[in-house]
Amino acid sequence: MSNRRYGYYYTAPLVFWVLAFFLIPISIILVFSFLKKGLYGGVIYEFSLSAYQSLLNPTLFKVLITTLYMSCVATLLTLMLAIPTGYFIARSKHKNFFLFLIIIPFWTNFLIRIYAWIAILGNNGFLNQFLIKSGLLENSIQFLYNPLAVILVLTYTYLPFAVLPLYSTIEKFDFSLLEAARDLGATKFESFYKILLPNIKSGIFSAILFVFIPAFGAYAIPQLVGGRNSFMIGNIIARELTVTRNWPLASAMSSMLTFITIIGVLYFLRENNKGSKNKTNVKA
Amino acid sequence: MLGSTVEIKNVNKFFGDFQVLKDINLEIKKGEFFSLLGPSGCGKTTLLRMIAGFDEPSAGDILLDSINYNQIPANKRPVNTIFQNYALFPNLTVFENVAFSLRLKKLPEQFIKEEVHKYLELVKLNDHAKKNTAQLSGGQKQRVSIARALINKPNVLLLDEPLSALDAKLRQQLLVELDTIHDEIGITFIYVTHDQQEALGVSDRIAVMNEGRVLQVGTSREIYEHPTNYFVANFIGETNNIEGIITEASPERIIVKPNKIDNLTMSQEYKLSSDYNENEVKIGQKIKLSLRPEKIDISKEKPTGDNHFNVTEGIIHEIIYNGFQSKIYVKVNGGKMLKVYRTHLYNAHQETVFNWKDKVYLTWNPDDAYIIEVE
Amino acid sequence: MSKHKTSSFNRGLYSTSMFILTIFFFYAPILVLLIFSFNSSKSMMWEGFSWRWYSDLIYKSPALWASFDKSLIIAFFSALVSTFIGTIGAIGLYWYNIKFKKTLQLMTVVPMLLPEIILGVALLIFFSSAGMKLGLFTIFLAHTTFCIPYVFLIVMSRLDEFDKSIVEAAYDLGATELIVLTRIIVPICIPAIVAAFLISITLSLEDFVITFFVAGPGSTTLPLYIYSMIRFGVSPVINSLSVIILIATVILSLLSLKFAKGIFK
Repeated sequence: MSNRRYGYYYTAPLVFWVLAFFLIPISIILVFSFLKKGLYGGVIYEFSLSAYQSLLNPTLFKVLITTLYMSCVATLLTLMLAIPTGYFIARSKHKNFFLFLIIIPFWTNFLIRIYAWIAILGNNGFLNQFLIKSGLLENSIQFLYNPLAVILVLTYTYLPFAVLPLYSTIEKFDFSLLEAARDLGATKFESFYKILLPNIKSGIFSAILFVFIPAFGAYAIPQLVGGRNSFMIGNIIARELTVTRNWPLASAMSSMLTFITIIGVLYFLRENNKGSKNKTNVKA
Repeated sequence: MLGSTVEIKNVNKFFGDFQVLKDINLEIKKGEFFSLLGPSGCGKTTLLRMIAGFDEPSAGDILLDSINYNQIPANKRPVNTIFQNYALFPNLTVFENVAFSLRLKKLPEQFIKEEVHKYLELVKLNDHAKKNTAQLSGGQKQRVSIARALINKPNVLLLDEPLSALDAKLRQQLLVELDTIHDEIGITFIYVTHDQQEALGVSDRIAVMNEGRVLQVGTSREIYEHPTNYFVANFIGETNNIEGIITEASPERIIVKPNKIDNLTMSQEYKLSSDYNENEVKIGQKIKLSLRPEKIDISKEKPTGDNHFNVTEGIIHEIIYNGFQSKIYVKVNGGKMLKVYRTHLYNAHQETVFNWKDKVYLTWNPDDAYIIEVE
Repeated sequence: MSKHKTSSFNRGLYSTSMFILTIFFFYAPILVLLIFSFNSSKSMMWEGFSWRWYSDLIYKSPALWASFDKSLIIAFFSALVSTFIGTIGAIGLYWYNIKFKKTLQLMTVVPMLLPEIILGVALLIFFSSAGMKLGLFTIFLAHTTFCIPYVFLIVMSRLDEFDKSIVEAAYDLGATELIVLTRIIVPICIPAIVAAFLISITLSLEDFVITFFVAGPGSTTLPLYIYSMIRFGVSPVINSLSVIILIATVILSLLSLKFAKGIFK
């Protein structure tokens, strides 16, 4: 059809931008990850797997495990708070107001949210000062610069990302199903576990996606509230890129992160499609 | 007569490998209220969209007043469409929606104003001209879209299930209004619907479609009283499908031995008539007949008299009382279940009362049964 | 109020208490910042009310305001460009069945889902390899890149509210492509376009990670400045700044919500 041509005009700037500033840069890091590192930064155009090999050296591998551990714990904590919160809001009469309460921290400047925790937990922070003044402590405790602090701030930062998708799935859930389950003899816990959870699976999955992926790739949070033993991949990438100037290694780690994200997104899309197909089947 | 003739010649349409329309041939007359009736997925909407110019036929031609319109885009056809979901422009008021096509033609303001009010009057919406379309009810929205299409003075108005989003009562009301508007304006209406009641109620002629084919074209009465096809007989109204084998065939009538209906009294053999072409039917062939439930008479006494009628006996299996009529399921000797409608008339308090398990006689005129399938 | 309380208890003690915990978790740190922004002393011990840090912020922080100016300029231009590209892209994809529709849709949205650091690293390597000087312009390019997916999704979801039959109806009534675009499609997108623009401004103003990678000398934006304030010596000015940013955020998000009403369903 002739008017399909206009569609290309409209989408041309988008195609250009996505190609030039997303696909090409991403492809470049993918290519660089298989090259040799240049002496003073940059790369030498020679095929090499050394970047991927160094991912397996003990120091880096430990960082990988730490990162995985911290982002998993943060995701789990987030879900534990976000599911009941989403449920509460979905069943409340003041949905809009409560949602707004969740959205404000979501929009608040990211650095300021991190800073707030530094102001509270820092060596001269609110909590230490408070405890010392009330005589519970003599010298301040270092609350920050450890894995727990990183997990706490990760949870704090990404919690709104989990509440919103969970809320919107739970809101569509037919709550009379819970009553039906109770009517048929299920306990409260059983009806939650066997009826609510499977029905809000897609919301839980998108919450995991929205929390785990940015947490796994976090940079600023471990940089500001983490210590030596809570370095994350993001910190290593930044270090390799700007200090050590090992571009292939930074590229290899970034490619790995990209790969994990894409797998997650594709899996999510597939599950979601399955879900919507099932729904139409029920209708027919 | 106003309006255009619409001819559809050998139209085929493929979506990928899937053939949605198979050799469609139709001739729609000037000023006719013509319906395309069929279940969802039968291709009726696709056919309508081709007449509108939103889709192109894969093969075949669409002619308006004998002029081929295949290559002419939707915005240049003297045809307008009423959409199922109204398709009102959400950013424009009722007045501006109706004025849309006149504004495109850059007509003088005064003229536009008069025309819009004239057409809003036609659909009884003059008081709502300044409203936002979101403030209207479903029925009002569809009226706006009718005015918006008609103001363009099309030769053909295409209606794509225009009432299906409305509730039953409103549907009836708007259907009558549509019919009135059709009579007033006199252009050709092509009406797509899956609702047989709508189609039977207002159409001059109906084309019944299924699985991409046109199965029968005729007036409402022809389609209902004289279905020529198994699908048509069962899609429109209710019917009893009787299977049997032809035992005698003569130019006037054929005699059929039906399956699962025994003990035919009155006539020696169970007779069913048809004006079916006798060359097509032969002794020994398997055949399907359609017999509408209201054509069967039910009685407790064995009928006497006219021995051209078919009579069989059976036991009442189920009675569903509907107020003005009852639907009675009778299991006849031989095992066949027949549906019978019995209308409760003015002397209802005197009529025979039927009960579950009563033994009854069923009588019908062989002329009321039609051959709908020959093997 | 009391009525609401009983009803929330009926909904289950567990979800109610978790909700209260979440809200407390969210707002306690913000509240601490708010209170201490009015503290007369430098420490995190309450010593008395004072506007000192607000006046310091306004009168004694030229470097901060210079970084804010840069942030504003970048935010304005990247919001403008991303709103334009994202909007016509969404319109094109909604309107026409072009080839690779789904692929393009996916590729447009993926940058939004990737950890920010990836886009930062990829763009840094890309800009350096292309020999571009890092600075305000590269930040603008990067910000436009991460704003486009948001604009695209917002406009697309607005368009998705309307059945394509309105486009067909306009053609049917004699409209040309241009008229359908200017009189129907763009007008119905206006609220989404405004919301997308405001959201892009917010996203750009607040981005730290990507900016950190693609910034060069002399292109310190407000978040980069805040980062250095946090890292190298905390001054309570940051408390008052936080409060002001928080208020601005609430106003901006209220505004964009107002325009996006019905979009985020």
